[in-house]
Amino acid sequence: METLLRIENVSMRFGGLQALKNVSFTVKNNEVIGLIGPNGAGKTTLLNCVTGFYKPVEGKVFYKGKEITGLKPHKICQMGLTKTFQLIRAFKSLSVLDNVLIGALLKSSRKNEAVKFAKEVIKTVGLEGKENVLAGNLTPADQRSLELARAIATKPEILLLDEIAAGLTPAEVAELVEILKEINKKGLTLVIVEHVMQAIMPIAGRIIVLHEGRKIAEGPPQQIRENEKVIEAYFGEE
Amino acid sequence: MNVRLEKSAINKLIILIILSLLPLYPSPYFRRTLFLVLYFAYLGVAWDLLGGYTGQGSFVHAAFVGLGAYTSALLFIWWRVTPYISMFIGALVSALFAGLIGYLCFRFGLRGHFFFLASIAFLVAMRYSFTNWDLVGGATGLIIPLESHVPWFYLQFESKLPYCYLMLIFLFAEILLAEKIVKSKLGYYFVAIREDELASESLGINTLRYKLISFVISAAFTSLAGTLYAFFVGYIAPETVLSDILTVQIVIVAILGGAGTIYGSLIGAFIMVPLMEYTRAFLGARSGLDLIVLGSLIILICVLYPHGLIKLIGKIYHKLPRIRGDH
Repeated sequence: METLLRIENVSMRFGGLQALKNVSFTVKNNEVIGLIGPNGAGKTTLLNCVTGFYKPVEGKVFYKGKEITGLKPHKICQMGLTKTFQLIRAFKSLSVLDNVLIGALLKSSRKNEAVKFAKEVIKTVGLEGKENVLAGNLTPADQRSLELARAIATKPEILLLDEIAAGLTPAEVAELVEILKEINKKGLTLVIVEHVMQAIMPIAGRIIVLHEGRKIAEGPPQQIRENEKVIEAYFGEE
Repeated sequence: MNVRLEKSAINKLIILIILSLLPLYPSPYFRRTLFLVLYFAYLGVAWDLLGGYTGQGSFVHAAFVGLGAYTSALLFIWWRVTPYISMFIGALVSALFAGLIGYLCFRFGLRGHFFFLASIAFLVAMRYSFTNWDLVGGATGLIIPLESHVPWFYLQFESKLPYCYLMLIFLFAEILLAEKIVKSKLGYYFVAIREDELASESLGINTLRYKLISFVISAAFTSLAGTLYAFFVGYIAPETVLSDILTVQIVIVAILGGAGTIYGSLIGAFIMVPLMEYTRAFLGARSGLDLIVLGSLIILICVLYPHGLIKLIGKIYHKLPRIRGDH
């Protein structure tokens, strides 16, 4: 399988706080990667370093062999890599369709073409029938789906999802997992950041565990579940 | 789709017909007021593209009125360049100036209140530079000399009537263009930036570039009205076309009518300009009283209709008995 994303020795500091220390891993085409770790492990920081919202103080990020370290987020998105936000950032005073349309306009030169594509994406995430509802009036779960739709509409090759299941009920999480499986089947590579391990186990092919800014484990879900370091990080030493 | 398109075209036609009948009322004072209404509506629409749609509240806009007015006045005084041409040179100057200050502000991430403050600084700096610059007439300003030879070619008319129609044509052309922009990719990106800049970046929108585009378009539009105004009054000075009061009036028009709505500025101008004129006519003898009354009325309207008067019109419109079968 082709390597899409390569992260090499990425470190990030905020003042005296070492948020990431020498994190390296690769993501291959059409994989689903789970990125987990306790609170403050540096998961969101890592996503921000990859998508251009932060410039890492050390290390490099490669996308399809090209270095993208320090590029602006819009540039990286145009290349085919984007993320959703941990806190919902839907365009609240716009309709569902307009939200997704803004994403779709990136790669569709004609507006009616973009509208058509946006409607398709809305259907994929299960928001059909709500096209004209204002995003601010949606339930939190629907706003999450909307953000997912908006990101998918930019036609990325890798999508980084930051705690997309946060605040959802178990039923909603299960629904979301089905949607994610579906879009992965269509060829989209996913990196899913999760705080809760249970949410990610059924879908991820490989899991990377961060703890205090360092990568402490990497492997298939079963192996991670039994890894002592991981158990220690989550539950503390006996 | 077609029905809606047709309806909006009919609405536009009705507005256009009403507006083009108004200047026929043969009173110079009425026509002068009407010109100002159309002028401020035009300026409000231009401001709205940047302030209402892109969400970058600017206080510098009087500077573009001034640049348009001064460029055309100087080119006329020096070389008798017709304002029909010089207005576009003025628009170019304004666009370049907007590009420069926009880059300086947006490059370093100034937004919200801070962009607002920086834009005030640019306007004030420009006003005092012009006040102390003899080449452009200094504090006394410039008088546009009357041209006896083919005056219409130099935008000089005895009656106020042609000015009203000219301003009306510009206003309508601007509204049509603004609508086109707002419905295009450009407009969607402007609104996305207003709603959330970080989210916009994550969707591949070069927020710096689109903010600059919005600023430049808004400035160029604004500048054209500056030229028309200069030839309408025949006299310009830093105090009239580069004043902070002028910016305040533009912002009031746009926000009073409803920011981010285009047509709101038309309503805003029809409320603000007559209020301004009549409070001055009836209360102007006591210095400052007219401004106190005007200010209070504006505060009242803003409190009652925080989303702009266009919402009020919408409410009335929806309460009207349905005579057409298109709903």
